[in-house]
Amino acid sequence: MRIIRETWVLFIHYEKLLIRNPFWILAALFQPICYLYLFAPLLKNVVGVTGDGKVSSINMFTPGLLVMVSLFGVMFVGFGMIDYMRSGVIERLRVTTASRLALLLGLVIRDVVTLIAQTIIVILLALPLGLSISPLGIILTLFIMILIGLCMAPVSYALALTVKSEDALGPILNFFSQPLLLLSGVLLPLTLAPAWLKNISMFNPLKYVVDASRAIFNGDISNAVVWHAYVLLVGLVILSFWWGLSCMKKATE
Amino acid sequence: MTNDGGDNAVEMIVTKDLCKVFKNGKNTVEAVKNVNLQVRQGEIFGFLGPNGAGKTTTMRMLTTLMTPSTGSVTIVGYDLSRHAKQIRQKIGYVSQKGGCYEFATGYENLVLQGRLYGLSKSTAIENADQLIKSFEMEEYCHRKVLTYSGGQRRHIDLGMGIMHNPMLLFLDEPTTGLDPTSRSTFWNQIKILQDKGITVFLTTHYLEEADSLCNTICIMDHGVVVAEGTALELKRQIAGDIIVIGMDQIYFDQAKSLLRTRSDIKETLTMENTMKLYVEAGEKALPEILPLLVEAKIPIKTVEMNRPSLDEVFLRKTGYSMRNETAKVLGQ
Repeated sequence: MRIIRETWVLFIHYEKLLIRNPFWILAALFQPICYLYLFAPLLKNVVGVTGDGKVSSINMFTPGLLVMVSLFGVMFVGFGMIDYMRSGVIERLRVTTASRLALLLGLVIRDVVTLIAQTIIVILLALPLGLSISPLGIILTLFIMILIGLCMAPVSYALALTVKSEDALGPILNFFSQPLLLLSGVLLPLTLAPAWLKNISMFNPLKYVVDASRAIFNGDISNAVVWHAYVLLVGLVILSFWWGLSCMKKATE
Repeated sequence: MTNDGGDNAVEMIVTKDLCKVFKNGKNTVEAVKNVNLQVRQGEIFGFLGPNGAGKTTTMRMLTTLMTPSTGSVTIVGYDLSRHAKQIRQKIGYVSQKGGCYEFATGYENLVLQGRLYGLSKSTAIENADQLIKSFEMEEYCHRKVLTYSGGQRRHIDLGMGIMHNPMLLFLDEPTTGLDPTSRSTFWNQIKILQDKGITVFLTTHYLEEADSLCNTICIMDHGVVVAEGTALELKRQIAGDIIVIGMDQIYFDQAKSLLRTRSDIKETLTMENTMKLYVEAGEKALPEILPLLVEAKIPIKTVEMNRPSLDEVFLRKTGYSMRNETAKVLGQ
């Protein structure tokens, strides 16, 4: 009970600070807007993108774009953590009686809520371009996004608490995010890829998430890739919370 | 002392052979070695030492931020290794950085801090209002902390530390970087806290602060407690007076051999171009020592005689001058 209240109090506090300075939320939307309006139109004439031609290119592209938004939107939240460590906020929080999980969750839930808002905005912006998606599809997509957020945010915070400096955090995040992204079929489906590239991508959890997201957008909800992705994400969320929490417990040792 | 804790403990802090060893690859550093401390209820306990002496490490262990390597710690009657959460409820901690949310107002910071200690919203607001009134923060408490001056910041930091009415308050170098006026205001506030029955444990670089504010002073160096007692007790350990003679370094050896035969000189310390003689009775020794040096044609530049100060105690115990240490810290 107490942990729920502490999480809520912290979450409301972080939301207040965020709303006071909404510039960053808008800035985070600039990249997906560029991709949606400046890159997606190119795909219309690329042979093979839309498979058998039943699916429009925007329906193929938007799910991948959303996964990219979630990855880049949440991956870099650790920079805020480094700022908090430097100004002594984390240390002060650790001397309070608040639960360590609440200290982590307050931030993570804020990040997930931001991600939900961004997802809805991107879907709305894609509608005029011909996107078609069912209400159930939107809900299932939002669940995927929430799980990605719950998975990525603790990882980013844990990394920040471990490396303790922006100079180290930036390169590490880039090192992992670029191959993860390119090997997930976000921009172009991996059906276009040569066999060796496809084989490597089998080891990328993000690939399954993108596949599931596409299936959902195309009304193929009963496809096994959908529940596979959910199970995979739930497992990753548990792992990432376990890591994030253990870093939060010993944040200054 | 029992381990099950309680508010009736007279000893606020008891440590037994407290040690902290840092392992960095093959190197091990003993940051804190067998520290035994006793802090009684209601006192202001000053923790002094040069940079790297182990003060902050000790404080981090006492505030549950760091696990001791060996040794036992009892805070407010609770065993640190088993009851960290109960201890957190009873202590307040103000680090050097403070740790407020810079983009939130002071008022918001205070209320949130109270709520994280389990206070209800109405109690947290009530406590925050009281603190704002007693620390005279009305003028700026609804501005972002980012905009505060150094003194205002220290007020809000101190307020954050006592939002939940702790019995014991830890302050890590609370007045470093403050101007003299803000510093004396801050001292007054600490004394008011003491009057309210709060025990205060503080580290400081300022000897006059320790001298005028602290009931007990503890000096640490290289991870070991080298002296402990009231300011008066510590000064008495340096019996007699100090004669400070200014001369060129090249004459040090000559002067030392001239003075070797005098049994009333207990110790001789040399620093750049000054020689310090610790003597039993300065007023008698000075008229005898000076002619000796003059006869040997040692050019004497200055002569001073001092009663022992806390700085002398510090210098004798650690080999550092606290004033130089302070200058170093301020220069960073």
